Amino acid sequence: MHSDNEAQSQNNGISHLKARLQGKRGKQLWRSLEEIAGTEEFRQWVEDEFPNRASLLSVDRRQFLTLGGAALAMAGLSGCRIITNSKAVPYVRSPEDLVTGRSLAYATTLLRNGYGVGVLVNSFEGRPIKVEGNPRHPASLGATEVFEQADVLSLYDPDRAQSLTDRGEFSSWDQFVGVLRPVLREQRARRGAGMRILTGTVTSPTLAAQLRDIQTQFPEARWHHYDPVNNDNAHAGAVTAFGRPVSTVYRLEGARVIVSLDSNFLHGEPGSTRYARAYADGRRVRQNGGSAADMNRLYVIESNTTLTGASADHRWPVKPSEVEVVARALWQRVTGDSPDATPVGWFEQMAADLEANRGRCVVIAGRDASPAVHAYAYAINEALGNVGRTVTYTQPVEASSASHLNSLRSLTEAMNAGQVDLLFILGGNPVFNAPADLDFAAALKKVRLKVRHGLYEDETSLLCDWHLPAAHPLESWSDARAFDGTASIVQPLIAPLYDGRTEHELLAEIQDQPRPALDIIRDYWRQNGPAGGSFEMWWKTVLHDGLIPGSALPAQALTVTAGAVAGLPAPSTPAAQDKVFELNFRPDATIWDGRYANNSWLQELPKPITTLTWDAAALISPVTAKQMGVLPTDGNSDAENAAQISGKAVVTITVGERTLKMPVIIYPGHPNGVISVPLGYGRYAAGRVGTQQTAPGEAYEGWFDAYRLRTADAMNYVTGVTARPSGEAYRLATTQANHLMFGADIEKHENRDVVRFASYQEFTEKGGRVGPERHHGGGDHGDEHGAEHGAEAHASEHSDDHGNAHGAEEQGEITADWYRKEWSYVEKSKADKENLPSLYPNYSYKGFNAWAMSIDLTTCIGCNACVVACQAENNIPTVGKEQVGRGREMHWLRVDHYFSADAADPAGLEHPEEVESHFMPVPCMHCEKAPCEPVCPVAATIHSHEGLNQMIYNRCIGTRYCSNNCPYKVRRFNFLKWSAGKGGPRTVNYDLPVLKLSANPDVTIRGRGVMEKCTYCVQRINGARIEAKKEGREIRDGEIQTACQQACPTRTIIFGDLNNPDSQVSRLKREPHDYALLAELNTRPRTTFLARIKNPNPNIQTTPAAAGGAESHAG
Amino acid sequence: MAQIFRPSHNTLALLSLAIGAIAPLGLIVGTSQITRSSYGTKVGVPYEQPVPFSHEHHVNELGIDCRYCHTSVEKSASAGYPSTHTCMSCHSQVWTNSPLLEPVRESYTKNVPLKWVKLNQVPDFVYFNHSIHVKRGISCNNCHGPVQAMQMAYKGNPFEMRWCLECHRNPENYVNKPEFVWELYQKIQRGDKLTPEEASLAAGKQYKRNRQELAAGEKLAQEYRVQKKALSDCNICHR
Repeated sequence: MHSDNEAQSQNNGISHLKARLQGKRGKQLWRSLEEIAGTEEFRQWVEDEFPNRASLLSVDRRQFLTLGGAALAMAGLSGCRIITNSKAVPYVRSPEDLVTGRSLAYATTLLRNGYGVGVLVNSFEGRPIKVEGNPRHPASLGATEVFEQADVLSLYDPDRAQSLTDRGEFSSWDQFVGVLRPVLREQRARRGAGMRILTGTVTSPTLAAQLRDIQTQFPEARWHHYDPVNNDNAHAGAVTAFGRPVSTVYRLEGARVIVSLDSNFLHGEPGSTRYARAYADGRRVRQNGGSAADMNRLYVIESNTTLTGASADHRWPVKPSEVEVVARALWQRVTGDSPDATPVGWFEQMAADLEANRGRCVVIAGRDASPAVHAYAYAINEALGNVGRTVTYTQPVEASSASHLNSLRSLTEAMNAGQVDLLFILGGNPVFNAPADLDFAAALKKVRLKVRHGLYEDETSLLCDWHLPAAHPLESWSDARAFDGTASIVQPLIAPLYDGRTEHELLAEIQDQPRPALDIIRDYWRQNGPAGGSFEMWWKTVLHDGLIPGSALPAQALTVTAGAVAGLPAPSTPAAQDKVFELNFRPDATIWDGRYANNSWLQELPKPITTLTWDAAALISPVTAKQMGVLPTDGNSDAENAAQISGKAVVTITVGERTLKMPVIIYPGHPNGVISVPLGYGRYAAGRVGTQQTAPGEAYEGWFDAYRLRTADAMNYVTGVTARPSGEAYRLATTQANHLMFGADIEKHENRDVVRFASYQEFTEKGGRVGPERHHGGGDHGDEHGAEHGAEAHASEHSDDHGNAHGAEEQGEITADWYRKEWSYVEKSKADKENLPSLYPNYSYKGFNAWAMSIDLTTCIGCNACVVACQAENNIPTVGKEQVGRGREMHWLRVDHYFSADAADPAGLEHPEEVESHFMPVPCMHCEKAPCEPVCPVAATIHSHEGLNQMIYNRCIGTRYCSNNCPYKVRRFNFLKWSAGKGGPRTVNYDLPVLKLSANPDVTIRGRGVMEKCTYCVQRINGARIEAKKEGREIRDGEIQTACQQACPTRTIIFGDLNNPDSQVSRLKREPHDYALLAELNTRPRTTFLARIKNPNPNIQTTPAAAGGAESHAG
Repeated sequence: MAQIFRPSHNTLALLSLAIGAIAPLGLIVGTSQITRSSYGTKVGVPYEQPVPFSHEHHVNELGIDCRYCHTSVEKSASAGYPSTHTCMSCHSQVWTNSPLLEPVRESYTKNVPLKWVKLNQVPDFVYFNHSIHVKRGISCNNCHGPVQAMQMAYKGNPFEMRWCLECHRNPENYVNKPEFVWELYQKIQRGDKLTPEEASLAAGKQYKRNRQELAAGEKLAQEYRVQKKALSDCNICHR
């Protein structure tokens, strides 16, 4: 490509890298554009102990001496303590089953975009502190997503609406009812003609029944529903295909080939936890203990960059308008027509793969794909014989399958026409998230009495008359249906902290049958629940189990109406125009449609793939950035410029009359010509955490809020978009370059084989060995081919014995082979490993439990549920955007993201589809030879007999030597008292009484100046050990689950005792593809990884090399 | 002009040098002694409680088992304080009009909990678990002093880390059958003859076992599969 540019940047940037990589083939592993470009800024960032030091407090020499002297003089005082006698407050009457000091788990249901997910919530002496999945519930199977984990923090959010207000004045429920009664009487007389109720997605059977009852009492009243992220397209597609809307349930357990048409089914969907589990179960490749079952294969055609795309065996980025082209072509292909041309390079191979697996494959249409894509998907699945096997259809799970958009539109029209006198808005936030062209806010002003029921006094509440604080789901009695229709009860874990009431209680007031929510729910289920027998028994069982047995909606036998799909018009894609783009709207990966904006954990959670925190960014590819003019034309290479610009530049996106400013992230592998923006940012009345301000009291007018561009005719994507650099700068905080395990030198990654990956074919051919194979050397391309083949021949000759003839051949040079011979866990016997010389003391773990962890990179989908689970379990503070920008985020567990791409085109400039993503969760490795331990001057981090690398907060004096010496960079330092919210006003402050309630009492809250890190959830280990000892037995395998393990939807993380040869973790560690991160350092980590096995279609030739690391196809 | 310094100043100068050398030492020793004294540790100092509850009366005179009130001591980290309801299970029948019990009755009728002053506390970064200690036959008195003889409850030991470690490093000197914990008070109440270990515990003193007793303790520890080395791992108490 840009050959004249390259000549000018010989020593820096991409061309330099290319020069270094000359002669290398296969995949190159890297973490960020900055890294491959080797920019000076990046080097500084990595090498400086205090990056961005200028922004830190500047202290002159005298001041420093003064402070230093004072610190020295006062140092001794920190050892003093003042005994204060706190009070013990026992119960007056002790609740049943409660044992002080122990937590109890209750089954309940949390809502994911309105759909139920069954959870077990641990309650410690009456305060819910931790959410776990409910193994019995079909939408959970024991796991959770980030949203459920973070819901505890929302419960205790001090910014929640705390009292009932009447146009901002404090009021009371009684006063409200006093005002409401006469209005309702008037409405009753008018048969409800002026009354409207607006809700979000409703799956609650009881709420639906109440709404129906209101409809009979007020026949002319209307119920509207609107969620900005909804199933309108799927329902509309079903109307085309079947004549009526349906809900689709996928049975991925039986799928060999999965094709995603712009669907991110592994994350954020009502059923995605279940789907992720089934997807992973079909990919667990094992050599020991079980057959290497056939892996499933995932093809993803997507217009965005998603988790599902990152997990794919084959991913093809397309424009949003092209998804329909692909869907139509696939439909033509499987029904025997000759398909239209598609942009997807391996379309034919994919179609052949589907046909070869009839009845064992599935095509999934994305929620945001057009109705036609859904209709095609229904037809394709039917043609492939999947219906009833991998796909089933049910009645819509939602109480109303009417289009959300049309529902809101008709409400707005009625409001504008002055037909609405009384409006109840339950949940949602339409003023913020309604389509911009409906101008909901203006219409709302024409309503006489507006009653808002919600958790927060948000943008919508500001324009309403009454705000009624809602009870959080953890404070409520309610019910909900899951993705497959399974109903379950929402039961409260705590009495409402504020004056919150449930929507049921508000509706009961309208029904003129006011009573508590519990009675409403019980009355409904008394009539609709058990077929016979005692209701009380049934009710108790249902509450205990966390679901209503047999309530899943029955599968319906439906066939696609003949001709319905054939009658769909061929999609028209806009002609390619220079500097005209397509724009995607997608819910944000952590704050969703904006509803979690005030949740500090989710704000600081690195978004999957981009690792962005606290902000929204428009995602564009390097090629698009060039077109847009974001990249300067200064003679440097594009990749290098992209590295300099990404995360700093701001673009103005224009759709018709509407404009929006958004910082950009330039992302290799993103479809060219596409801008993806997340919904939900730019909140101006979200609370302390969620409100984005330039300065206190000053909102970012026209920034971040993607809803400003979203109109009713283009809810999912819009074409004909222009964008140009705004000239402003805005620094985003990503964690991609934080906690790097190596210096700035990219070559080190490659040598060290951080992420090992191979194809399924290679895995089986080589007996499961996935080791370092990459060859390091100079020479031109042609010679290298020969050399590589030679080396491989050697490798295979020697692969059975442990001779090091090959290593000797390459004297003095660190080669992959040398690593394998000398250090690889794959090659060495256990005895050999233990006999390696080490400077560190030897410990014997005989007679103790030797705790260890195995992380399977094949099944990790990078969803980050483990990170939030760890945060909730271990009272991990948030630090705020500024501190994340300094590399100080505190997550004990991070999910590293690596790119791999062809060495000749690492940034995917020519082949964005070749850019692969790899996720690697990195907790503390609990090294047996831990480099952190000997350097601590006060022995604050020392080895336990069970092999844990213990961190003792009360001893730590904060030298940070341990962190400096940790090769994995997993230690986190409390530079300030993060736990007291010193990271900034947007962080969690455990000193606030209400947030204190959220803390796990089994884990110390850390103060300033101490180091912390993953403990393998030692509180859970100790708890299990004590119980086992009391019962006089050993700890059972699987009895201890770490928080990350328990939350993981795909069961990627397994924890257990290495001294028990039959434990799950021991078996996994005997797998041939088990490897230790940076094993050559001889730290002997207890946490090891299973190499990532991908299952590419052998008939698909990727351009430069096969997907499996260095293994090349015929040259 | 007269001399400023007289010969006597030599002595003063020497003395001040000596004081200067000794004073910091004295300060250090003095403060450390104060902090270790019962003034600092509050050991043996009874507190004003909402109700002047006497362990001596309830345990020793009436023979009520510890677990009647401290219900979770065998199940949980925390021994638990009795709910007002527990008090009232007897005091709705006996001493129903005692003015001393007025706060209890008030708590019960108004449904407002009693607030007791906590005597025994470990710092927030220390995690102590009652249930496993009791299960290993560690007497209440080992840590809490002569509880059965306390008219007003007071702290029996300073709960310093070295004091905890003394047992965690030498468990054979302390482990017993679990029944030992409860039988001690029954024996004291009945006036049975106490073994030297029991007598020492009854007086709230630590007992040093003789060789024979230590051998038996070691055997018991083995039966319990006490991992002596791991018992002083930091993570046992800190997490």
